[in-house]
Amino acid sequence: MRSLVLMNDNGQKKIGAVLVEGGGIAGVQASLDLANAGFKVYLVEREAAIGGMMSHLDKTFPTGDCATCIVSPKLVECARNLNIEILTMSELTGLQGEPGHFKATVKRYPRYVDETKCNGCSACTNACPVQIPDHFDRELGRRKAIAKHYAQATPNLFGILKNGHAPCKMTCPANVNVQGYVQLIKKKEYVKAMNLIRERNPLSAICGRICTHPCESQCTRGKADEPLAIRLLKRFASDKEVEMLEAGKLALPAEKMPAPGAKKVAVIGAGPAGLTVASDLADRGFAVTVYESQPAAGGMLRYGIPEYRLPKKVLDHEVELIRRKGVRFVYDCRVGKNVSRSSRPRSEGETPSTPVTLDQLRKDNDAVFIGTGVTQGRLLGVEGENKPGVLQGVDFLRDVARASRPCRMGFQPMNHRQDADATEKRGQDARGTQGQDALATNKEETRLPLPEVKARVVVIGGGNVAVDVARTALRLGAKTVEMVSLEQRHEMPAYPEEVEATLHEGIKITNGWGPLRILGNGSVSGIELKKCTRVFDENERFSPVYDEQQRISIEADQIITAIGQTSDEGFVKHIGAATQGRYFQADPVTLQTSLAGVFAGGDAVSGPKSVIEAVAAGKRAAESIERYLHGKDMVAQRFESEVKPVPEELLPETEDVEEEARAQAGELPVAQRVGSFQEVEMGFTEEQALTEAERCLNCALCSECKECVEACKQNAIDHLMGERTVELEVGSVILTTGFEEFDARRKGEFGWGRYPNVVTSVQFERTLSAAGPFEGHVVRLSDRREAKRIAWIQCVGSRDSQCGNEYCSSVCCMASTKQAMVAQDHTPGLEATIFYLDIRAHGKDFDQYYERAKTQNGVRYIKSIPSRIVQMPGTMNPRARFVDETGKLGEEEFDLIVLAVGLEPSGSAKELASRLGIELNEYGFCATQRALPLSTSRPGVFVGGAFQEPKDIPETVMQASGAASMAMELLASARNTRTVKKKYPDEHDVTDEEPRIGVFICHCGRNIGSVVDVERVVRNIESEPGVAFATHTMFTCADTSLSNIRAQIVEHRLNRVVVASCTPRTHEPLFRETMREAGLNPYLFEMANIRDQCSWVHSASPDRATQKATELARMAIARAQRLAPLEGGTLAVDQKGLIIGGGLAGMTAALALANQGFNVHLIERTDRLGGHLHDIHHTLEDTDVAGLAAHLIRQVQEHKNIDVYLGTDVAEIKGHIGEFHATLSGNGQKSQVSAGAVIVATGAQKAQTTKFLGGASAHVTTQVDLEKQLQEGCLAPSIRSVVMIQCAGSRDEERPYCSRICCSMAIKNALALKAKSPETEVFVLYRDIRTYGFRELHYKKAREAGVVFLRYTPEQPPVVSSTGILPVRGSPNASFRVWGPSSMGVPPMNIEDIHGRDGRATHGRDAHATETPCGVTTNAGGLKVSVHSPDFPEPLAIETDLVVLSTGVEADRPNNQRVSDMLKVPLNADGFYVEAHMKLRPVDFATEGIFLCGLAHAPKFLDETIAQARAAAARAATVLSKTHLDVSPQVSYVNQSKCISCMTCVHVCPYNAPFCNTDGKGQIEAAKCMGCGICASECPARAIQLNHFETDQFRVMIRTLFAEGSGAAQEEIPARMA
Amino acid sequence: MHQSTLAVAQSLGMQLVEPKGWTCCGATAGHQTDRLLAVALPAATLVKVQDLGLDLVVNCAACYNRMKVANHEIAGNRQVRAQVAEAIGRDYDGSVKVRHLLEVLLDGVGTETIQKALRRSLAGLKVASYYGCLLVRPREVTGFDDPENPSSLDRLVAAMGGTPLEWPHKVECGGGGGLSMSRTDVVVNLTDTIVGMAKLAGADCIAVSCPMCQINLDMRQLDIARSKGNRYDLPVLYITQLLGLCLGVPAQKLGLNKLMISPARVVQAVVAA
Repeated sequence: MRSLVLMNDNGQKKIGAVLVEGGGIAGVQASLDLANAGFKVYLVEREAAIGGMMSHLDKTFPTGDCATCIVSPKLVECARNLNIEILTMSELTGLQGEPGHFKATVKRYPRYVDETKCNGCSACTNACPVQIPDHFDRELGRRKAIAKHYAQATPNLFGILKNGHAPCKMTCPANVNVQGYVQLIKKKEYVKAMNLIRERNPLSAICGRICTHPCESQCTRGKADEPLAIRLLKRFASDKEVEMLEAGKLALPAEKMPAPGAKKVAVIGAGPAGLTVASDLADRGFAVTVYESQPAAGGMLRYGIPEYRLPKKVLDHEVELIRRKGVRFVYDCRVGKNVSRSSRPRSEGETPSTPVTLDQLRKDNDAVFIGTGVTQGRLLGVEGENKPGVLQGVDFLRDVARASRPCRMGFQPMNHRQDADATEKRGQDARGTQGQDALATNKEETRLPLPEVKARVVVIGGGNVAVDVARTALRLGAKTVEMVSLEQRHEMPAYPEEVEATLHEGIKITNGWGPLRILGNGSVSGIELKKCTRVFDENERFSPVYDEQQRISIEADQIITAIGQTSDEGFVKHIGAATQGRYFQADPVTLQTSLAGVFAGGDAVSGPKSVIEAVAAGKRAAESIERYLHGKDMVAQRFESEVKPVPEELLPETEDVEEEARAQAGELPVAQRVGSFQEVEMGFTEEQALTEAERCLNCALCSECKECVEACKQNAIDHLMGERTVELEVGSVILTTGFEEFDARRKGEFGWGRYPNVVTSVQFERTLSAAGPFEGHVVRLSDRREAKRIAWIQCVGSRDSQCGNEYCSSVCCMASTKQAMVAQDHTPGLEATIFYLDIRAHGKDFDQYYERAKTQNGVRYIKSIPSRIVQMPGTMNPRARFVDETGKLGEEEFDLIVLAVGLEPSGSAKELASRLGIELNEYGFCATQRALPLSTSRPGVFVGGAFQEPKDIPETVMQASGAASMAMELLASARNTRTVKKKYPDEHDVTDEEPRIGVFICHCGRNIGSVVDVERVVRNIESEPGVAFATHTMFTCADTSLSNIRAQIVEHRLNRVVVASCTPRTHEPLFRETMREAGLNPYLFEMANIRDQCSWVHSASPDRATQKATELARMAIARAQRLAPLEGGTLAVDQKGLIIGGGLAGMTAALALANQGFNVHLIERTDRLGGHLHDIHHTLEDTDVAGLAAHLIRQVQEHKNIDVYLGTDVAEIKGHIGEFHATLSGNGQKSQVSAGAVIVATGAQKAQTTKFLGGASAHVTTQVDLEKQLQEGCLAPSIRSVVMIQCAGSRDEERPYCSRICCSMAIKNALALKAKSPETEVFVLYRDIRTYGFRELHYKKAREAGVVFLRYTPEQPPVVSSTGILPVRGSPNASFRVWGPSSMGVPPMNIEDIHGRDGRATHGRDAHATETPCGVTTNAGGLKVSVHSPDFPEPLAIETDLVVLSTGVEADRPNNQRVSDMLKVPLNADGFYVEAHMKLRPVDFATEGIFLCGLAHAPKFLDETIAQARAAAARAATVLSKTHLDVSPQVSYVNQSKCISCMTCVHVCPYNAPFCNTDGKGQIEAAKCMGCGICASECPARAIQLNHFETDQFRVMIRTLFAEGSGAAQEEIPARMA
Repeated sequence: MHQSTLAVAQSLGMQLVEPKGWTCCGATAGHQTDRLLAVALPAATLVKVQDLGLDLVVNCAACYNRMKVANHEIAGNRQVRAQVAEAIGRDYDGSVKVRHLLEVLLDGVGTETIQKALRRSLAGLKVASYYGCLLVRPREVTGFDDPENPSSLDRLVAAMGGTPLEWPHKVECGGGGGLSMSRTDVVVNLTDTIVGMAKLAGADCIAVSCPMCQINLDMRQLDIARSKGNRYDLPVLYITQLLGLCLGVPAQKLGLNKLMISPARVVQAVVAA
């Protein structure tokens, strides 16, 4: 056992700060306790907001509270506490140092939203086009890529989800943000879409036509059905842009000129690479001149791709946009070392080129880019190739392009023409000064004649150029066109759709033949072909093999070859840069050539590639040129290296995607194609485009379309935000990482993930939640139909060795019960069925809740776990197959099945543990010991909540406070060293001011806003007297809204504030705090509850709800006018603790407080410390309890801060928080002690029963006694058969609760019996085995050890009778009778399986009881236990030696009643104390300063008692750590002149506040007064007034309600009020 | 089934070699009788395959399962291996690769090759793929597809142009393994559930990958009609029978005439496509 003694201080000063990892309810509670006790807290949370699993829940059990409503105030309190720093989207990654002085490393993931700027306004979410599955709703609903974690998220901040970059963007050579522009198209933001594309690709409209769209091949949608039609979407956007330009709805960008003195760059070649470089560098402020040998820009785009595929208009438009950036174009200008590089005869009228040398360009410019592409057609190298009538495809296409239309005209929409002309002139002027004649930019190019096309044309080649040539030839009048391709059809390099179109247009394709020679005398008459037997070798390299024996000839008048292109070798060789073959050699990353300042890219470097690859090269070169010219690193952090793919496993699921066909664009009818160059492919209609864009699965989550950036008025969004690491100094760490639900996919037989109507329990919580995806309607996913028959299956991923989780998840039984009852509330008549193994309702008041579900709500419980769910065809109803209680195989259909998935530690917690060196148990939970439930294996690191063991909220909260206590004990010496105290501004004196009221009406999201017309309420009340300002807010309690209130107080000089929203119970403190922060007295605040009282109760009549809201607001405003500032006092805290009860709870709490340096009075009624610890010898896990008890007692007795009072009782307690005075009586003496806080740890007692012969037979004992006998070794060895009866006197009318510990205790003793003698038969008769958490493992162990568990029902309890006859083993009538063989459906279980096989024949035993050495009668007793187990068809009778009753725990009613009266704290029906709130305040009493722990609260285990005791100490420390407390001024006071000394107030006050003073008049002790107002209402003389709730304040409210003009009828105000 | 398997193998260019002297795997009778026998019987055949240096392809789910289990047990347990060695007279290490015909068709031949070889199409015929329980279970042993929702047969059906049905009883036991002869009453109930569900899901036929399943689902439809009055008339075809039809193998070479429920509608649908 690890030592309970905390680390010694090694002399170094400890750090008074604690890191809490995990912001669920546990982390929040621990943080609040620590911060309120004087420690700085870093609350680290992986998600974007704190709240953990509780924020996902709809309601809590058994209280029925709205989970969000009860947790939210705590979250807000956390956010507002100055000493709690919340680090969301962060995780602890490392921890160095030792207890007291750790250095914690925290990784902070990017939120992409600046936390200091975001005001939670939601403009970004509204602008975001990306809809992705919402993990908060467990993928039932959808969210935007930028969103709040959940509606009430704390901190109230937005955040962006990113996964990397989508496959489309990754695949695009230029990394165009495809997902981004598709989303913008979805939003109909076509111009923005184009601009986004142009960030990476200035030729976007062109690519919309002719891109090879590698992106589509990788589109994730393709896995579901077909890839998105990305190219056509891009084309659609570009068409829209042109359409808008033409309609005058969009203006071309203004022409720009490079700044004077800008560095100069020359670009050789105006093809795609050159255009991209020019565009990009112009954007970056360089002066770029493009030299182009042809008369117009575009390169192959203009001179290679036919008009019917890429209309020149589109190209011109894009060139014009580039020109407008200030790029100069010099056409008809050849660059070379004074070499005439073209051997082609010049056509007539063609402008002679002006030679410009590279040397000259390098001299005149700071850098040069060569993008001259591949312009030459490859030669066939066959006989007759230079016959007239043999053309090169590229030349042919170029000539067609040059002839078809004037080339130079940029796209100039009508209404921009003038403007364009004007700028053209200005441009000329500018250029004129540079004295370049060759520019001649506005000279009309002369049209060239179209090349002649003969009747029979044969095109050689199977690529895209060949296809273009063939289709062009056809359009120019060829009678027949035939293509000859080396490759087979499927091998052809041309795109399949192009080949398809070619065939469609009537062009013949001859596959598998290569040219041998060209026939004809003089001119061409045909071509002879040889058979090509193979084109590609094994390595798929081009390596054709021919069979020259097989030959055919084709007649032809003209042969056009298009077997590939190459660069102009002469040019390349002579330019002077290093080359590689016929191409330039350039660095693959920077595209630098061997010449300084000369870069090259595109086809001139790579050989023939696609347009988008040339664009990518251009982008790369432009980046390099800028870096080069600015002297920056050429390689580091280039764009391309920063683009990271979405990890495979994070790509969207495609299995569930509903199939939807890809949109198809129309085509020009074939008849219209021939003889025309009209564009063949038609674009999408808008409808098609929008539908198609919707198909995008948003692989990267955020599309980086930047719409949010534009929408955010706070400039809070930063898409480039990266990860950060921070180091924090802390003294201790608390791990509260909680749990993750079991992945139901691992139980494939239930079909979760395949069947839409099978959901997990977390999904169902979201379904029930009003803030969830279905707004609280109980519908199912497949058809959104209301579910009327719902089944729950328990233990999915729990108590299941098959999936590795053998433990019980503890909460699911109750959670399902709650869900069933809540669902019935939502849908009247809903039939709920719960399939279970054991109902584990072991918590306080749980059993009563379960009984209510069963009996009142008619929830059907079936003890069976279905083996399989199938989904019925058609209805999609899930059908469960199960064996019912009679053993019959049954099947039942439901509308919806909920899988109660188990709890597992989160994956990240496991990683964290390994980084921190924290031991885990075999299931990945934090390894702890029962005696040290809050300590991890690493000193100074504590644990609490579900990471320690699956548990419910109250236990989680207890452990959290307990872990906080551990940290407080460790760091006691450093208390208040790292904290800051809140300073409020001086209070503004309003006494002489007219009321100026600010009114804030809350929408509460949809909670109020969906029913009440909030804006109308504002209009209705804004002219009320005194109202100086009125507005409405989405969530008034949000941090940003509170700052707004403060701002309005200043701006409008408000001196009263009214908020109409939810309940003051949860939110008034928050608003009062805001008042103080703004310099106003907090009592100048008034609240109207228009949620509970309007939107909730009148949801069916919104109009009247609105009217009522107006009236309530009016009343609040009227009252606000009468409000007066109140001043509270402070009271000194007596920094000592008083603990009642010296058992485990009391001792632990005493030590926890004493270790923190507080003096403690520990009062124990009996003569020794330890309580029930003396009855327990070891735990189920074999913890040495006796050792623990001895250790604790010694520590307590020796602790200098603890005064132990044995044999002493508390006779009286007076006082209040901070100052209690107790009179102790013991040993015949009375003494007085004082304390600032009281902890009630009075324990409970062993229950007794007379049932089952309890107390009536010497052979009927209890578990406690059995344990004792086992421990002391005095159980008679002759005992060979033991029957344990569970719930003996529990879970019945007399004691309706479950004692929680008895099942484990029985198993502990059963195992001990078996360990002692394996032959001893042990039967456990039970109703439900409740071994929750890891205790379940021992249940399994017991079954494996041969302990027989037999279930009984309360309707047929076991009957114990004394036979007086000793069982004689082995004789025919021995033991119990077994069911007949005719019973069907029961496993053929042999009697011997139950009764043992050895047939021990004769134990000649004494029928008379004998005295054992311990003096306990335990000999064989001849008892018969009859039980009717529902699992067996016939009753069983067991003859046994010993019956052990599990009698459970009972409250010590008389003592509890006495303490309860004394402290004025309540008891429940079972006699246990009632805590302030069952879920979230499990150790507090409603009365401040008094705390509760141990069995006095409810039955619990040792580890739970320890945690709760420490929790009580932590809670007490929040009081004791302060020297003074603020006293509320909201107390009653007695008008002494009116008091008639009747003492009514003294009698009615539940807090003992009024007393009779020396004048004989009533007076009220302000520190005790809780402001409940009972005295004020009861005082017959009306002498008592309650501050802040004074009569005239109510009177004016009532008057307002009934005043003229208000909706309510004018009525007589009741006399008493008047 | 046998006929059609050979025919399909032939048209897909698969060469099947029959191991000389193969023996029965023992089937359910074997493994219910004696654990050693249940392992030794398949092992006797497996060593013969090992001698051939080939993988073993099995077209019956039960034989497949037995072969796999035998390999699993022999390879994983030295004692079993020794016992088997004694029983069959030589040592066998459990290393022969056992593959179901379906695996060979999908992973070995591949849907692309199959599709290229197809002469006809199932033309959208709605096919309920039935895997039975032995092909996919236990997962640790067979490692064949998803044990709850397998999809290999469906992929093959889709490749043939059929519409694979989403239906819940893909791996539901039909009782063919052990009760076919001994407890026909149970089998009638089980098969009624399966065929009824396929019918409910709108199936035009059931495709199976196990001859026992085929016999069971096909033949028992007559008993179901007789004893329960449910008349389904749902043809049950072994996967190579369907594939054979699509590959253009003449119907008479596919053993279609041996089916109890006439597959005429299926044949017509395929031919008509």
